[in-house]
Amino acid sequence: MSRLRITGLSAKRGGTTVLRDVNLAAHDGEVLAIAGPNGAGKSTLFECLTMSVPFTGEAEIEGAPLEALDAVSRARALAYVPQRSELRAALPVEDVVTMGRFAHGNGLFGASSEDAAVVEGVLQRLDLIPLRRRAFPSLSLGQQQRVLIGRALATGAPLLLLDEPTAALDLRQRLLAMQRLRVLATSGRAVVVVLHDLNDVHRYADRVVVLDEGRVVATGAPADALSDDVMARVYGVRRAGDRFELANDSSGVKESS
Amino acid sequence: MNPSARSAVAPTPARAALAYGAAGLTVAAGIALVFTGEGAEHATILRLRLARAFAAVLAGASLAVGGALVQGLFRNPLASPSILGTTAGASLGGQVALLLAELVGLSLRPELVVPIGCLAGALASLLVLLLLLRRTEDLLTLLLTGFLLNSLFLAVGSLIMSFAQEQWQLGRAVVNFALGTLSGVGTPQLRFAAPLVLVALAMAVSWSRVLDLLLTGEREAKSLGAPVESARFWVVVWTSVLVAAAVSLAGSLAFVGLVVPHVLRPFVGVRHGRLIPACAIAGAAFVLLCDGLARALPSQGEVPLGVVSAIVGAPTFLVLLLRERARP
Repeated sequence: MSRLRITGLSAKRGGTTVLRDVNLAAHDGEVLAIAGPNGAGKSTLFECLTMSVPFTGEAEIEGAPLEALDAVSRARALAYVPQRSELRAALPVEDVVTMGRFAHGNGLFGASSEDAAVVEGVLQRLDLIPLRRRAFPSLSLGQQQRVLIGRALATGAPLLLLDEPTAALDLRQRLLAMQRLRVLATSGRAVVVVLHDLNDVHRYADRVVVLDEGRVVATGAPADALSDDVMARVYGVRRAGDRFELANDSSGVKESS
Repeated sequence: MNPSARSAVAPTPARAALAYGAAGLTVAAGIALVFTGEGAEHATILRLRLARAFAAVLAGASLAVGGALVQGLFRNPLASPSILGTTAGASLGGQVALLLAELVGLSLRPELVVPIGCLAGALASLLVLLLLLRRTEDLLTLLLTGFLLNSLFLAVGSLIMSFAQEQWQLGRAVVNFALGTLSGVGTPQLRFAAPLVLVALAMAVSWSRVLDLLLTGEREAKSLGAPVESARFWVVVWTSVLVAAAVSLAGSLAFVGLVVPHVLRPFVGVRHGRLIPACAIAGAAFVLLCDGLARALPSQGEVPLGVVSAIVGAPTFLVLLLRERARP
């Protein structure tokens, strides 16, 4: 059974349809990339899955309709990692990771001993021990990303949704982040990740779903789904040897000599 | 409990509050009274002062915790019941209730009418604010909307004051609301307000973990399992109860809800499980101190408590703000 199955999902934002009849499935142990140009509906898809944007159609986690799950059950089944957290308060790293244990409801006002053990394990695993007392907003973007992944792991959810986790990272941090996602999938989780960089899709994803104007236009292994035809139709680029160039350059941008 | 036993368990600011006052006692005699508790007349004075000190504790704790709650709800350390118009809404509610009770000739006692009016006013002001700010988290919009509501409620309150001026007693009660004072607080008001405050404080603490999650924004909080909609509803309800109880006891006291959580965060952290109890204690001490100053400052009668809390609170907040800005 698929960990996540979406059938005929459509969603509107401000009266405009941004997702149309989306179908996809994610399985345990795989990295499923969601790719597409800006405005394709990638982030909105995650907002539907976190119940922040209303949708029509079906979304099931392990066969159970998403709408039927209460907030706590949903948080135990699905962990969301935003591109950047909106947390601006000076909360220590350890407390941010502990937030992931909320849905487990142990300890009325703070973490139970079981929660503390899980958090300790996550801090060690993601090499966050030296940062545990640091205030979250004082960290670099790469460190913040690691903390957010730690918080997602602390939930114990078998399905991870990551929205452009490498967007603000330098090359080294990006490679580390992508390797981390691969390890998470190898440990049995289903990892669904929005990616802009198609090199990362080719290198780290098992499968990719390509969205364009809210529709799924291709799905499958990266080498198949990101065909020359799809690249031309969706991104307006064509392959020129080992790189891409604009398929029909009407941008008016000239290279300077 | 006899008066001396009562004073023995009271913390220092509370002892000072009991020992000092204008009712024909010198400070030395007041201190002696607290420790000896002799004489029926003195016992009456002590009872009045004890009620006043208890009211200061309740009002201070309520406003400071109310401040921590709205700051958590709006994810903004510059929010407070007085800046967002909640205190003015509660005050207006109390004034309207007093006026209506007088005009309609309700047989209800003022100690019952006033808190109900305050609660309705505080609830209405917070709900209007939430409705107006449904689609934005912008700080300037929040503060301007709060300023607008505050001005509106104060203007309507002034209108009511002008209606009430013909009747001296009603006029005095209405003016007291606007300026803030603890004089005249007695056991009937405390009997009504104390249980409300205690329940609301306990409920505020019970929402601590959800308020922590709300610091990350609605979407992240939801994804972590926080019941965001019910949290918003109940935090508004308990904040309104706290502010209403404080205003019904002490009238409008500015800056308590803004300054106290702000001062405490560097020491106790941003987690509401620690911040809320700390605010309750520090808020109580702050208003006790302000009330002591209100009684001690040279004046024909008493300096209004709201004036003292603003004079102490505004510069304190300015210093905190400047210090925060100067931080690298």
